[in-house]
Amino acid sequence: MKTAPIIVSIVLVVLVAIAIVFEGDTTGSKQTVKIGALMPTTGSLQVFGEASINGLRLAIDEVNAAGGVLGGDVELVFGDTQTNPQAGVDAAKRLVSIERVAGLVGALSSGVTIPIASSVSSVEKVPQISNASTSPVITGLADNDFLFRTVPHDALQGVILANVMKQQGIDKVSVIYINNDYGQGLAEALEQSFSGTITGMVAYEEKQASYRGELLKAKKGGADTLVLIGYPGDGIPILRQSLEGGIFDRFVFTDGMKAQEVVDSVGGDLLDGTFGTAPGADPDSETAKRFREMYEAKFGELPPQPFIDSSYDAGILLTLAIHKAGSTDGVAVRDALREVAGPPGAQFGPGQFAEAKAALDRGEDIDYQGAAGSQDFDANGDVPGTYSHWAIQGGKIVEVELIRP
Amino acid sequence: MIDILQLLIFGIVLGGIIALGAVGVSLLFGILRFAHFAHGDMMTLGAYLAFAFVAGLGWPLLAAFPLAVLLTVGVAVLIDQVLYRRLRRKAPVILLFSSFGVALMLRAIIELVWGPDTVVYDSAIQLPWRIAGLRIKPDHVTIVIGAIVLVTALHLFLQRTRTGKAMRAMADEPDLAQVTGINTERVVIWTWIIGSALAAAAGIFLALDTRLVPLLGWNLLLPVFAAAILGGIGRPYGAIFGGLVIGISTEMSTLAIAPVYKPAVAFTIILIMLIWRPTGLLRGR
Repeated sequence: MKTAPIIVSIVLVVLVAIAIVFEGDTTGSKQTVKIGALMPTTGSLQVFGEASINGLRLAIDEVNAAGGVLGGDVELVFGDTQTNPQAGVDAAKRLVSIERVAGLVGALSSGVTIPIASSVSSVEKVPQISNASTSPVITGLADNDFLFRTVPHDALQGVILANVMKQQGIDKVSVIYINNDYGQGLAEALEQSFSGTITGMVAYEEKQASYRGELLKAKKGGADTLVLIGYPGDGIPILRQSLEGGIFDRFVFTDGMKAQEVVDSVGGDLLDGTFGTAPGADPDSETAKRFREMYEAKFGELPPQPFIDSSYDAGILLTLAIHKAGSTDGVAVRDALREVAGPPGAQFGPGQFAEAKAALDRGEDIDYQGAAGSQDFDANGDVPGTYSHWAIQGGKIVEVELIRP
Repeated sequence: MIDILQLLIFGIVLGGIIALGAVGVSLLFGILRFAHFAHGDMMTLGAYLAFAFVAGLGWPLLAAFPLAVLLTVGVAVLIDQVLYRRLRRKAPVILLFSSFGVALMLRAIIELVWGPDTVVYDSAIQLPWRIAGLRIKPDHVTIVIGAIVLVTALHLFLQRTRTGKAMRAMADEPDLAQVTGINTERVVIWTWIIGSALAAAAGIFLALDTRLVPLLGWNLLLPVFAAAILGGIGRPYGAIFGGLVIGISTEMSTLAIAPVYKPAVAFTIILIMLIWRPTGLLRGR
């Protein structure tokens, strides 16, 4: 019995040694640049994860078709965050210290992105670009400037949601929100800017079997409309239990619930006319159109989930920055990110990675115009952006109008 | 007042589901001396097997139910014979950890076969019956009746059959049971059959009430353990009672505390019980 721990330790040491030797070998000979994708392929945001991965794949395939960066191909390595902070941090640690990625794209939920930024990317000096984390908390986060995002933040979405609700003649609502940085941030932003009455603000915890108590509590003030700020994983049972319990039958959603899966699991007829807001690019802009064509040529129809275009942008920006920095050094890449993303310089958009790379090789400045917006990072790593007012009509998610803040 | 009654109904539904899971955990703990961590994933497996018949073959859930339960029992007995049986002579903690491994394997298989997407048995929404201001969902009646039938069947099995009596004896006093010539191996297999059948039923009921996700049962494991501890380890009747207490108090807690703390209710009950009366209400182990 007593020799067991010794044997285990020896085996561990050997395994680690092998891992280090092989790691050194692969990076030394092949010159591939690795990009880490921190996406939930399980858990309550899983529907968004798969879509975002496709956006990122599209970007990396384009980069490799143009000869990659630093003379080698770019390789995507995945880490499943499980929509869970602990699993997300573990996955990020693995990508950074074992896979030695040059940059991270993700995570989606702010509740996962923030711990990864605080305990992995800002400490290990690896640039991280989230394509979906909209919490206002990220703006002021002490991240040593290693955390960027390619979506506009929720302080603005709260204002816009409040305006859209007013336009639709809703003046009395109750709010139920996911108890994390995303839910709290957006719920507070909404509370501050909504001119009508908010009769209840109820936070809910993920992964519960029943949300009936929460719903009854939200119903106490007598509102007929429920604003649901959450993710599909728990949002679907909340909707079903609310409808089945006859508690609320009118809902308002935000970006976290903008997924066809929500409509399909609850039934389009009951959700007909439900509306919401989400960050979204002008669908008629040149860059968004080109992105849509590229996506459809490769994967078929573009699903209604947000953050696919912003994940494409994150992939392109990261690789452009690596190319400009001329190395995978985290600090150099971080500093190059702002230069390739914003003015001054010639403008390049989706599908023009090869041209942008050539311009960088000539020593020119470039200004990437993304599929999801201009992607000009400010001092906090935030970007300006537009929003979409969307609705569920005839069992499908449709865009109603584009809103510029 | 209506609110309280409404929450009570919701609590009984949730409590019934937890109770079905807790009976298995309690009996397994009593007889095999380890906390079966894969119990939640057994529930998930049952729910997904029923889903395979409902979505794949278009069967009504009522027809899929017995077959899914039977298949889950088969898997549970197989796992016991292949894995747990070999570890029974080892320390209980080894069984505990291997059950953790089984939980991960079951969940991975479920994700592999059915994918991580959220699915439902029937996407149509059932509108509730309104009775004297109370809202009652038809599925809830199904769940409560189903739970009562299963618990009654369990009661008859434990009281009227030789195997049932032997099982109670073993949970009470394993050494004495062995000395009196009870075939322990047979009792162990029957424990798995009962435990996994009830777990599968609980999983199907829970999925019927909410939706199907690979973490369905795992997420319910804490309340299930709380119910088993509350009722007294090795006490099937205690587990049923414990399940109802946990279910009702979890739903009722939203009246008094912020719903964010709802998951803490089961935890708090475990803690209080372990400090105040570690053997459980019905003097288990």
